[in-house]
Amino acid sequence: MKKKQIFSTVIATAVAATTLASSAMAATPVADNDLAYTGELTIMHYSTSEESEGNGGSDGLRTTLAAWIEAHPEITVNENVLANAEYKTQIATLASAGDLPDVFMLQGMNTKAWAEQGLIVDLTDAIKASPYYADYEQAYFTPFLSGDSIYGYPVLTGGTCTVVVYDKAMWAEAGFDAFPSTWEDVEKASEYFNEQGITTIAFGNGGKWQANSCFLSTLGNRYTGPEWFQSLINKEGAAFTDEAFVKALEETKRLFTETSIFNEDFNAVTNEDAREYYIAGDAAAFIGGNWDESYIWATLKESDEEKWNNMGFAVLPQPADATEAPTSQNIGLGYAVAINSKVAEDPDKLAAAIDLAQELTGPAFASYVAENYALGGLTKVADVDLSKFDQVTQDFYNWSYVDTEKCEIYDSYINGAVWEVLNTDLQTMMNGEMEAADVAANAQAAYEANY
Amino acid sequence: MEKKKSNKAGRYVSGFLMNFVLIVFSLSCIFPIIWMFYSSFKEKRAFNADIIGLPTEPTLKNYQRILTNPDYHLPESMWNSARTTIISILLIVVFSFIVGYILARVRFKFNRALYAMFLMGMLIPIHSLLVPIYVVFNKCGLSNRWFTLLLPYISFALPMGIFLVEGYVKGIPISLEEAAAIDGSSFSYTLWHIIFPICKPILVTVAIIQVFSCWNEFSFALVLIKDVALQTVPLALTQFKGQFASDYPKQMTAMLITMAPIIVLYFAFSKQIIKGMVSGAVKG
Repeated sequence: MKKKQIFSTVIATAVAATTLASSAMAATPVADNDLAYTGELTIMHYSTSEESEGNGGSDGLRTTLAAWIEAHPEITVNENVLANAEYKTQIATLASAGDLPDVFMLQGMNTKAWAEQGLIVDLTDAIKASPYYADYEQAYFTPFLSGDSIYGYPVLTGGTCTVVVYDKAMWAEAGFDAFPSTWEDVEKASEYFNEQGITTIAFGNGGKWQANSCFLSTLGNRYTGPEWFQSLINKEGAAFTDEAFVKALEETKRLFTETSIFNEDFNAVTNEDAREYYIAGDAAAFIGGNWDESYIWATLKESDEEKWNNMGFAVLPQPADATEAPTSQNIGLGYAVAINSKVAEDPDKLAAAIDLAQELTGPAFASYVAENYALGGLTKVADVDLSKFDQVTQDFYNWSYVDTEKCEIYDSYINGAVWEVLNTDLQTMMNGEMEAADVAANAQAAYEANY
Repeated sequence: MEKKKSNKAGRYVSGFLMNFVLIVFSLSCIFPIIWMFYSSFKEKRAFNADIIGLPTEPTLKNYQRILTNPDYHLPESMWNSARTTIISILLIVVFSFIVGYILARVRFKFNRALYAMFLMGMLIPIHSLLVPIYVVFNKCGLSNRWFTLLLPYISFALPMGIFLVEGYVKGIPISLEEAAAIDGSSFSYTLWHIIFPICKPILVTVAIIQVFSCWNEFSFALVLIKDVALQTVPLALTQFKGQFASDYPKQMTAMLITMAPIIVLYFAFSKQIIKGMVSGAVKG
């Protein structure tokens, strides 16, 4: 009880200090709040120098973190930076040993388990009292909720996981002014493209995760609607074996095995290979995530300006028997800045950690990524001036944040073991060697066993 | 006469086939290095467009970027790897020799039980011990230090070293030690001046096997080291991998740079290494 009181006082003090300080300064620089803590603060993240090259979110995080360190010379920040795959291994080991860093990046799918184990600080009060709270994109908090409590500040930039990048000129030649909104029309277009010896849509699922993250997650929402997935996350009765989800799997199977829309080697090549088909003009469109879009953008800008100018963006076409959200695309923030619960033992240190988390996701970060990369994060930036960006970048910004409906990224939630089963079966199903109902049954069994 | 001719032709065909298979096998071993070498002169885009092809516009940009970017801290990681590997190997060889010799020669009550316990160390999967070892190291204040990795590297290498040395020592006639004892040689003099030189081939074999395993070790380095300045080469190389994309040419360039000292060492000591491996294989 006493601990809880101290904690609430600390949160209130930290928030008051932040509010006072931030009200007196411009929106973009890091708020130089007066913090009582002097000493060490460890932070672990995966925005390596390499990752930040051309990646707005990583660059923004490194820049904001450096500014915060400079603004607080009394605090020694010990950074542990690892590439994403290694980061996940090390953070899982540290969590198992109960020795998490003071501040770190929490993956959405770990939230519930780590919250239940008491490893992370409940940040609900701090977030609600944040001076930036009114500007927070509330939907981004969903993966970091356990019950009604919020356990992290969603970090980095919200980028789509499913975008159709298409060549406007090629599709115009095929008789389409814009990318088709239904799969029926895509199938018609594929007859034309096949005659030309061109793949209609390039896709790579060699890593197994792509079909889930960059296809099914959005296509599934078109059949099930968002409530089904929420129910699955909250264990409120939804199941992978529900008819609507099985229908989404059946449609996925049909598109990949019974039509000639995709490249034949889609299950053997990765997204990195498949996007080269599009860049080389061997495919009229490509399906991937925002990371693929930025690669295609940079490559074409340098090598083929005409093709670069013809870049268009579209959502997945709507299946004929789907009834939900035809303009939806899965977008979100997969990680949040979280705080080790042991930090709460030192109120001053906790205040410093909250301040750091708040700034890494606040207006300083948001302005930086908006102004330099036309990207958005947790904190919304009013009136982003897009005029200094080229038309393609402006189009992608509007497509990502303004013109489309948001839906969830499946594998930001639930449990890695469940997705491992689903991804493997999905790949087999897309080879035509498994039925949709069996894929759903196996996923449900994994869900019940692991979640 | 005809039979002799067909025998000769058969020998040619089988000789050709055997050589062909060996050449293909050798090329499959060498090709990754050659591929890494010429790919290091490609940019990411050129590599992604044609993974196997030779560079059309060779560039040194990858070398320049890696050697001038302090964030990559490759020299420090090479130094960390070299220091950890050298100290580990020295201690592995010394401990393997002493323990292996004692288990082979000295009779005591739990000799075989102790030997079996050491051998069981070879059967434990390292990954199952990562978390408990991390907890122990952390509680004892041993994690994230320059010497942290020495302990697991030496411990996990000892079973193999002891197994090889024990078997090798058993093959040495005991009359050698008896003659030395008659001549007044002490236990330690016999151990270090008579048995140790004889065991050199097997100790070189142990050292060679463990050099590669220490230099390339990843799991313990990942879990026990947090400070970037203490990272070893395999950890430092992971920075070239992004969450959704990898810069393979840059990664290959970094691998070539970090491989350089090992390759130089190999060529400098190739004679001894091959001799050691052959002797170990025959007598071990």
